[in-house]
Amino acid sequence: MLKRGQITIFIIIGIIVLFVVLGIFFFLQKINTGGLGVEEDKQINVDNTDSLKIFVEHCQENTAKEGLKFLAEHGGYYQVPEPSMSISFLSASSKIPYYFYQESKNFPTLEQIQTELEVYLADQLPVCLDNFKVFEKEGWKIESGAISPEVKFKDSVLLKLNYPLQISKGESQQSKDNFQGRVNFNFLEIYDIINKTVAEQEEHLNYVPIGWISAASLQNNFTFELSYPDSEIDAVVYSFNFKEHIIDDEPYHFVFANKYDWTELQQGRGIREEVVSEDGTQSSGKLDYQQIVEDQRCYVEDICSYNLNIYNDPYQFEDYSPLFDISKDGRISFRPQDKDVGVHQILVKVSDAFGEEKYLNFKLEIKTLGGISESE
Amino acid sequence: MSKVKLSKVKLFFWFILFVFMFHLAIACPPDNSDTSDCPKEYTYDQFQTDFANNPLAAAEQHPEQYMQYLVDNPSVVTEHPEAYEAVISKDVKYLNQNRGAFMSYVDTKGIHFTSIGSDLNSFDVASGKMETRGISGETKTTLTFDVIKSLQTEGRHNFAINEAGELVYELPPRYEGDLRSVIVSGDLEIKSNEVGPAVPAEKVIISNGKFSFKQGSEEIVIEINGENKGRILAPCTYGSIDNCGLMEVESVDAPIVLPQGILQTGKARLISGDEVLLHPQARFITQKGATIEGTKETMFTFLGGNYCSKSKYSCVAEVPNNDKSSSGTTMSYTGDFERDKLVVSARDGNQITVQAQDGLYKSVVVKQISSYMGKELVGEIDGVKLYITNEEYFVNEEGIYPEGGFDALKLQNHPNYAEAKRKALALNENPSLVNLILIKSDGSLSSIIFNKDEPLAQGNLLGLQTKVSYVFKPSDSFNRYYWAIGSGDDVSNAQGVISESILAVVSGLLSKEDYGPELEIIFDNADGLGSNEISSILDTDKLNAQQMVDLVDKMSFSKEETDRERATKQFTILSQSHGFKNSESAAVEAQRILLSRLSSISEFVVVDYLINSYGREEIQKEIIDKSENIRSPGEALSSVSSEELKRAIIEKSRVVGGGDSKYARSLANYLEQLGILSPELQILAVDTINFEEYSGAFKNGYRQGVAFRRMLAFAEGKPELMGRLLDRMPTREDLGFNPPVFKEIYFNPDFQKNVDIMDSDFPEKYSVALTVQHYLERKGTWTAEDISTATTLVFENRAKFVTYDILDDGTYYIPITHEEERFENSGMVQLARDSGVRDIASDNLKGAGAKEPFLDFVKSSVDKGKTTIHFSNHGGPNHQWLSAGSADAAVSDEMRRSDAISYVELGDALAERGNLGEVTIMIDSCYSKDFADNLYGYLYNTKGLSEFPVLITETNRGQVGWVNVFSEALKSTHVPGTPLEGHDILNTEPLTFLQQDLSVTMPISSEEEQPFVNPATPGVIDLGSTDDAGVSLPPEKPSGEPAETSPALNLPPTVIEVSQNEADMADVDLG
Repeated sequence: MLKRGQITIFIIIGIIVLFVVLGIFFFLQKINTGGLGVEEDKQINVDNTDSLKIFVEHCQENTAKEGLKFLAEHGGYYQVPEPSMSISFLSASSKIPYYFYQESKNFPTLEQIQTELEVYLADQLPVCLDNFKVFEKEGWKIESGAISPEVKFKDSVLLKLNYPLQISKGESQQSKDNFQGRVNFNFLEIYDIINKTVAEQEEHLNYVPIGWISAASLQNNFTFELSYPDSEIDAVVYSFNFKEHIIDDEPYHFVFANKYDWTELQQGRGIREEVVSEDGTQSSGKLDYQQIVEDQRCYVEDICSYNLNIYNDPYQFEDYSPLFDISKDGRISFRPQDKDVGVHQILVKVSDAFGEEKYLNFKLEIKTLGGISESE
Repeated sequence: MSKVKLSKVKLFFWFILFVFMFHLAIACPPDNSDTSDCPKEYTYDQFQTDFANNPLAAAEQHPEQYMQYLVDNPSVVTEHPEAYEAVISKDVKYLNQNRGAFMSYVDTKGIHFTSIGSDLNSFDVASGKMETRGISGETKTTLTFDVIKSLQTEGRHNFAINEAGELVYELPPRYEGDLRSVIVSGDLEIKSNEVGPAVPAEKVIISNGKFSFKQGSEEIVIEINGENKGRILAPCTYGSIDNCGLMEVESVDAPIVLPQGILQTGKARLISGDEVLLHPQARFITQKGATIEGTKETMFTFLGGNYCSKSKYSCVAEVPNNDKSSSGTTMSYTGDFERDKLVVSARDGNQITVQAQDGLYKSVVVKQISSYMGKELVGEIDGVKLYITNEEYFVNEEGIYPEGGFDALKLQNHPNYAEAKRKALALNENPSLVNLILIKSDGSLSSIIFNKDEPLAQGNLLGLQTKVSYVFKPSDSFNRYYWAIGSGDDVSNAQGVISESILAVVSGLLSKEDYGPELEIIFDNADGLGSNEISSILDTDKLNAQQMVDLVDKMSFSKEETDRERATKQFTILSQSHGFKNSESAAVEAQRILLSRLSSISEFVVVDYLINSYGREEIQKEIIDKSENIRSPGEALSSVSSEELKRAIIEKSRVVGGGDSKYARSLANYLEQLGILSPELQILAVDTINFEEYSGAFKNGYRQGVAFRRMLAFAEGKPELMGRLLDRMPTREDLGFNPPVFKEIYFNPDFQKNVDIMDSDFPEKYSVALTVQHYLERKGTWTAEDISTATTLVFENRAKFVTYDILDDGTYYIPITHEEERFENSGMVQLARDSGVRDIASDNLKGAGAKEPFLDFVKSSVDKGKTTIHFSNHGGPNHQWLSAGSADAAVSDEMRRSDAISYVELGDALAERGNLGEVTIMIDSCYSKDFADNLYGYLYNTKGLSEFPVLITETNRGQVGWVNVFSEALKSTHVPGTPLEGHDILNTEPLTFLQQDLSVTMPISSEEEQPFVNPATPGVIDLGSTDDAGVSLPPEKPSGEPAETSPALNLPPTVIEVSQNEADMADVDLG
């Protein structure tokens, strides 16, 4: 049997091993993901200016990838213009643009998106370059000018960067100002689908082109999500997930929103928002008449009665029959005459205080007492 | 008053009474004598006398007696209706006393009641208006004679008034077993301005009444109260629902309850208990509570989704979710069915709005909406009404491009053009669509719009409880997808999601590539599937046998396809399943199921069944068993493996072929397959074939000669089979084929010896034997010696012809062709040049313009010596056509026309030329032998010539030929650089044996030949086979120019046929 002290030692060793393993895991993960967004010195050979070029272009490409993802999540914008929708579950600006705000179209051209990516690069590239600290540690001195990126969407995303750099180390001095790069990602295909979706939307301004999107998604192998984030506004967020367009091993996810005006949809029913009646109750939007109405049979000179409101709901009743007059609270009571003999189709309208109405109909057969023996 | 006074009063009263009675007694004595002061009592006998003298006066003065008289003499109503009218005009009680008399009376008005069960409250003689009495004496129904007359049209019958005072009648059955009894009460009237000589039935209006009828065991009642109206319509009969129905109802001041729901506003035409046609803008609430409105006529029905697919109207069907009607039949879902599916179909610019609680229906299916093809009349152009469509096409009344076109300029200059165009384009503003509005449980609305494109949505679609689908016709489904949206698992293959936040999967789309659970939607909702779609589903191998059967039952067909073709397609497509090769495949079992549904399999499709069940002997056996006959046994034999099945096929192969190619291909394939089977099966085949059945290969127009020749060729070298075959083959005078004589000749030792010596191939044997047969028939005897003589003669003539020069360096060549390009002068000229010809009249005699030069060349050719004339054109028995004159339309009696050369004209030219013994005529056209015979007859009879040309024709008598067959064969047999001789011609026989046969006719050269000469073609004799296409007739005397023609009988023969062949085909390539 092990002593308690031995057990304690094992526990301590176990904890140490656990920490070591976790530490190694964390370290490796850091290396793999470059999680801080800054190029680490271990990845860069800082022996010559080529290394600097590689460093800058690598940064440029990585930033462009990040930019493409950012733009996709913001409808193609780096700086989302108004009108836009605030989305709480998205990161960054948490805004996505309305491509259509009711009938007003605001859809970025391809050139605009290129420009947006250029601005993104101009803003975010320094983060990656991190003031060339990696190189400075090795004794390099780098003076930089203004960043001027240029983006072209072709079969892949072509990058050009005008970034004047004066590099010196010891006695040697060099300058570099033009860098190039490429992201193997065909944004044109994405844009084409979005553009066609927008065109379809433009054809049917106040409708969600759900059928078109469904077909397009099947033909172009993407999935989509339509979300209605706010029941108060007639807006839909369109989210297209392009499984075959990958950046950093992730499917490309493009998001935009459209704002509609669907008040007309509600007008036919006389309600839009919840309707409040005079007594303060709210309409659920439908007349919830629960009673099952069945065919009836009565006899001449007998009292013929039928209660169409056994739950005593606050409904009003109105009939269309010459045989009787239904009470406002839904009770039928009359004494049929010989002339009433036969089958009658009874129609009653039920309505509530909100204008909701429903028709009830049933057959009422009136028979003579003699008729009973004849027919039964 | 005192007692005394009272007694006095009493006394006075009795006195007065006494005096009055006494006076009466003396005024009217009891003898009843008729005096002026005391009229005699009017007796019934007196009435009868009076009535006989003056019926009207008697009835009018003594109505009681009249009514009594009617009991005894009911017929007097019809004999003197004016008397009856006088009585019932006094008081309706007289009418009610004897309703039978009233029925007789109304008969005189052209109206017939089978019974009247209630009294009338009133009757107006002048107008025929009557009020029937209800049970408690109230007026139940008001109607007039005009109403009844109107109703009596359109097949209504058995009119009666029942005990409740309601009008009862029956309708003609719409469907078999359809009970069509109608009861009507209330005010029935025809508006005065609507009454005319031919009162249309639908003009009867009901108000304040009731219209009821029975559907099955259920009595359907429609009450018309207040200002609402009902209009009785012409009853619909099977096949049409246009302008007919039970009643048209109009909701004016209150909703009307109909069997299918409630008409809240507007008009609707009630066609049956299952169908109601809503008028434009009518608002209708279904029994389940959905509201339907359409801008145009919209049918609402319980008759299944299939009904909507076939309906000419926009349509909404409320059916069970597992509606089986889409598999073909139309089912009525009245009664206890839970109609939890709505099928909607919009067309012709109808914009249908359906509003329903979300979840009221499990599913709503919208059928494909096609592009709207509206049109507006521009006007009548050149007798054709022309319209402009909303897409600016021009169409006729049927909506299609006018046959024969139209004058576009006239149309566009029509005064109504601009207005019609404006109206047509305006139609685009109202395309067909369905707006489905679903009211969700929270009261919010979701709307999905369906038009000819993809669906559109408004409102929040999150959490819909109704599965909504949009399905397409297979023909339009290319690059389109069945679309569905719904909740949870209802929709498979979700391509998209609808969410409030993230990943609340509620929407989906059906993928074509991965059919699975969505089959349910396809089975339930698709009108039909195309073959490609069915194949792709079958390829998934996910279906069991019954599902496969259900699937192929969904196959869509064109209207033109017959049931037989449809069943065949369904059967055959199953073999395309990936798993078909597996013996346990569900597809095999599915084929078995389909086969079990067939009582027989058509002779024309057996092969399709066999091919598509290859390797499944059990199924193949069943297929053969279910076949009465097999038309293409060759293909059938190659589709089975076992000897047993092959034998079974041969036993069923009675009528073979027919309707196939010029080569009698079905028969050829059969013989090819038989060739590798045992002699026993070959004999079985020969014994089984029916040679005389119409439509088979042996009685099939142009092809029958080929069929017989193929059979004989098949038996070549098999004496037993040949003998059996000739024993079974019928004598065909129309073909000039006499099997018993042919057999005698063929098996004659001298004949056999001769053909052996000549090393004849079968075409030559056949040709010679058939020619001998005809020689002998002309002679009238066919002894062994005759056979020997004739055979020798034929061979001798053929031998003479072998070295006969047709084209050589001493020949003057006159070629002429039809104007069509396919008849080429160049080829003919090339043949002549290749044969050494140096003197060619013209290398460009072509078309009608060449006629006169050609005839001049012929006339003047006597100076050139040996001459060969060559025609290549369409031909007829009387003409060589230079323009027009295609096959089967090439017969004309007009002997002198600009577009053709008749045998008369050619005969005249030849006669003018003279020295015809140095002339050869080659005719490469249809009916060329008939032409040749007519030419010979003309030369001999009319022109009195005794010298004749040699005539080589492409085709035999009464036959049509294929362009280029002969010339192509000649290219094979003739060696360029050598003269074209008779052997080149004869050598084409085996090459054209199965297509067409040439004939060679030459002047006879000896007395020995005379017995064998055809009296119809005097002076010449054939060499080779003869007459075999079934349309050969002796040359007929053309009408119109008797002087130029003469009978071709009983004249001294001077020419002989040395070779003949045949041709058996007719189509566009015919010459």
